[in-house]
Amino acid sequence: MIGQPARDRTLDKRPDGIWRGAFFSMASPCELLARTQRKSTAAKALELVSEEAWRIEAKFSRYRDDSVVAEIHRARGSWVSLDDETNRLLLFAQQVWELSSGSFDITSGVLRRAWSFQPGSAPPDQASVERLLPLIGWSRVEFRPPKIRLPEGMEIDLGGIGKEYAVDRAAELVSNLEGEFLVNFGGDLRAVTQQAHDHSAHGELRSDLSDASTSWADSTSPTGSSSPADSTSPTGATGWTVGVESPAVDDVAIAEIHLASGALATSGDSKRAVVHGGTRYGHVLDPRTGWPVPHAPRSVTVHAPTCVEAGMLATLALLQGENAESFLEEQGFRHWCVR
Amino acid sequence: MQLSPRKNPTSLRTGLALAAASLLGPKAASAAIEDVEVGSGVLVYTEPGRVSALEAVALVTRNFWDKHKLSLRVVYDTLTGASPNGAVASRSPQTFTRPSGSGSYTVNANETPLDDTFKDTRFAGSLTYDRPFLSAGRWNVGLQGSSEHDYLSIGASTGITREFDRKNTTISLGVSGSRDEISPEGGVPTAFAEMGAATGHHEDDFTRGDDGEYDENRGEGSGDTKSVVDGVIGLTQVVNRTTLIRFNYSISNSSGYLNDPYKFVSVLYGPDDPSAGDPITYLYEKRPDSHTKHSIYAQAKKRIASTTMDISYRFLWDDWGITSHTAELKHRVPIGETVYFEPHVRLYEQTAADFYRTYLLSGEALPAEASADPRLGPMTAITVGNRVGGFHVGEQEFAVTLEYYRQFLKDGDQPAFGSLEGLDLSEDMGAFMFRISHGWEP
Repeated sequence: MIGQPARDRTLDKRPDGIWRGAFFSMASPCELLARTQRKSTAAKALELVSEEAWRIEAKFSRYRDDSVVAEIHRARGSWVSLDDETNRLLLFAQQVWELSSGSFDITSGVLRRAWSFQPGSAPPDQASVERLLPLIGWSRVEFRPPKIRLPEGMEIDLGGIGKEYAVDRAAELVSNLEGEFLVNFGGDLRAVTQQAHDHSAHGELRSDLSDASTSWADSTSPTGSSSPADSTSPTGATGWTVGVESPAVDDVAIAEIHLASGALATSGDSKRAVVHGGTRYGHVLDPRTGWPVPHAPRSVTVHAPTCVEAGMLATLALLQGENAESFLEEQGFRHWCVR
Repeated sequence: MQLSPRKNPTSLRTGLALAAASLLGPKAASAAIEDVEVGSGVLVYTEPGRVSALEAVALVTRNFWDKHKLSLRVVYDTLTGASPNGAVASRSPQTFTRPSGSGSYTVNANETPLDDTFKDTRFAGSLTYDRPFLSAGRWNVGLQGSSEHDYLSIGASTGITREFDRKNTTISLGVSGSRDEISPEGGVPTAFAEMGAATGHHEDDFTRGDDGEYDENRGEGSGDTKSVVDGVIGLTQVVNRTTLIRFNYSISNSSGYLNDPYKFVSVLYGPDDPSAGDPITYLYEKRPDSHTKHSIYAQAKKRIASTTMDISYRFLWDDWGITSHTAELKHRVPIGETVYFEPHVRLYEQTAADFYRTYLLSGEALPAEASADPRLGPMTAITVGNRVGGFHVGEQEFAVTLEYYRQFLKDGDQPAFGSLEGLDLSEDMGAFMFRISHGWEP
C-alpha cells in the first residue's frame, strides 16, 4: 500500500522560452511542455494536466482502497455498478482483448502472485503458474455495461491502459488552450500542436503602435487600412523533438524524432526482467500460458494518433515475440524496436 | 456473457482506432479560460521643430466560454506643432490665413511654410468580438469609431480565418467599411479657390465681416463626407519547424471628399516674368474624389538558433499614380531568459501622385487636380530602431522601443527657377519615436 503521493508541481520557463511543468503521478515523472506566450496559459495547462493525471491515478489504481478497481475486487463475486468512464475503459479493454485474440487481457495481473521481477529472483515452477490460469481470462468476467461481476479470486488491472489514457485525456484538456503542448507521462506522450497565435494584448498593441511612423508621414496613411497584424508566434516553430529512450541505458536516446502531432508510447521490460540460469525473463507475460513471451523485443515504441492506440500497439507487438517488427510493419505504424 | 477471442482480426488498425475513438470520444470537459488580459502602450512621436504627438492605447480582452473573446480598445492621441501647408519656400516672408479664417501666421523667407496651428486631439475606440467558427475557423466582427474636432469616423469590420492541413495553413478574409465626416475649421474650402484674406488678427475676434472673401472661398458648406471600403485576403503557411511565411493582398477604395482642407498649392510667377518664382497666391488643393489602392505583402519569419529573423516586403500601388516599396528586417535576439533585443530597419520609397505639383504657374491652365502635400510627393525614408522587450515587473510585462525615422523628400518633376533657385523645396524631415508597451493578465 502506497500512501497518498505528494501532489507537488513546478513550472519553469526554460532558456528556449518553453514552459516546463513537472509533477509525479502513476509511479512516473510527468512533464508538460508548453509553447505559449502567456504564463497563465502554461499554468492553467499544468493544473489541468496534473489534476487529470492524479484523478485517473486515484480512480483506477489497484494500490488504493478507494479506487474503482478496489471496489470491484471487494465485491467478491457480486455485481458492481460502474460509472460511464469505467465502462468505457472496460469496453476498450474488451475490444483490445478481442482484437488481440486474447493476448491482451486485463485479468492477467494475478500472475504477479507467481512472478516476481525483483532482481535475483527465480522464475516460478510450472505448477504455481498453472494454479493461477483458471483466474485469468476476460471471457470469465461477466461484463454487462454498466455492471460487472468478477468471479471471486480474479483481478483486473488497468495499469496497461491507464497511463496512456491519462495522456490522451490530459492532451484533450489542453487542446483548447492557445499554444502548443507536449504531455509526457513517464515516456508515454502526446503532442498538442497548433499554430501558436499570439493574440495577447501585448502582441496586438505592438502592431497598433508599430505603424505610427507611416501613419503621419507618408501616403500609406490616408485610409488607415489595417496592416497585417503581428499575430503569429515569434518563432514559427511547431512540433516537438522527442527522444526514444534506450531500454538499457537511462537518458540515452536511440532515436530523436520530430513529433508534430499524435502520440508515442513505449512498452518494454527495461526495468522489469529477471535473468535466471542464463535466460532472460521479460515482464510481458502471455495470459494464455502464464509465461513470458519468448523472443520479445526489450522495448517497442509506436507512433499513433492517440496514446492509447500507441500503447496498445506497443504491447501487442511485444506479445508477438519475434514477429513484433513484422506485426508493426503490417499495421503500418512508425515504430522503434529494441532487442 | 459469452465472448470468444476472434481469430485473425481483419483489421487491427481500424478496430483499435474505433475502440480508441469510443474510449476518448466524449469530449473532455472544455478547458475554457475565462480571464482578462490588459495591455497598454504609450507612444511619444516628435519631429524636432515640427509636430509632436502623444498616443496612449489601452486594450482589454475578456476571454470567455470556449475561446470567445471580446476586446475593447481605446486610443487617445494628441498632436501639436507645425506641419507643411504645401506652399513652397520663398525669398520673402509669406503670410497665410489660419484655417479658422481668423488671424494669420507669417513664415520667414527661405523657410518651408509650416502651419503652426495644428493642435488636434483624437479619441478612438473599437469593440471586437472574436469567436470560433465552424470546425477550424474563427470569425470576428467589430465596430470602430474615431473622433476629432474636425473629423468623425464610424466603421464596421468582419473577418474569418480558417486553418487547413493540421493548422499549417491559415487563410483569412476580411472586409471593413467606414463613413467619415470632415468638418474643417472655417468650413470646407472650395477646391482651387484662393486662400482668403484673414478676417481678423486675433483668434478671439468676433467682428469679422459677414461677406468676407474668406467665407466665400470656403463656400462648400461646413462639412463633407467620405466612404472607405477595405478588403484583405491572406495566407499564412508554416513551411517547416523554423519557418513561417505569409502573403497578403489588400484593396482599399475611398470615395467622397479626399482633399486635405488645410493644404495649399502655391501659384508662382512664371519663368519669363521679372518676378519669376515669387508667389502670387495660394490655392486650396484638389484631389480626385476616388482613390483605389492595392497592396501585396510578403513576410518570412525564420528561427535561427535561438534568434528570430523577420523579413517583410510590401508593394503598394494606386490609381493616383503612387507606387511604394517597404522592406523591413527585424532580428530578435534573446538575452537572458525572457528579455530580448530586437533591432530593426525599415526602408521606404514612394513615387509621386500624378497630380502632385510642387507649385502651379500663373498663366498656365489649371490642371484637373493638384496637391503639394509632401506626403504625396516622391520620397525615400528609413527607420532604424531597437526594441528591448520581455522584461517583467511582477506579472507585468514591458517592452520599450526607440526609433528614428528620416524622410528624404525628392524634388518633383518641376525644376526650381527664378527666385526659387537655391531654396530647399523638399526639406528632409526626421522624427524620433519612443514607445513603452505593457501587458498584464490580472
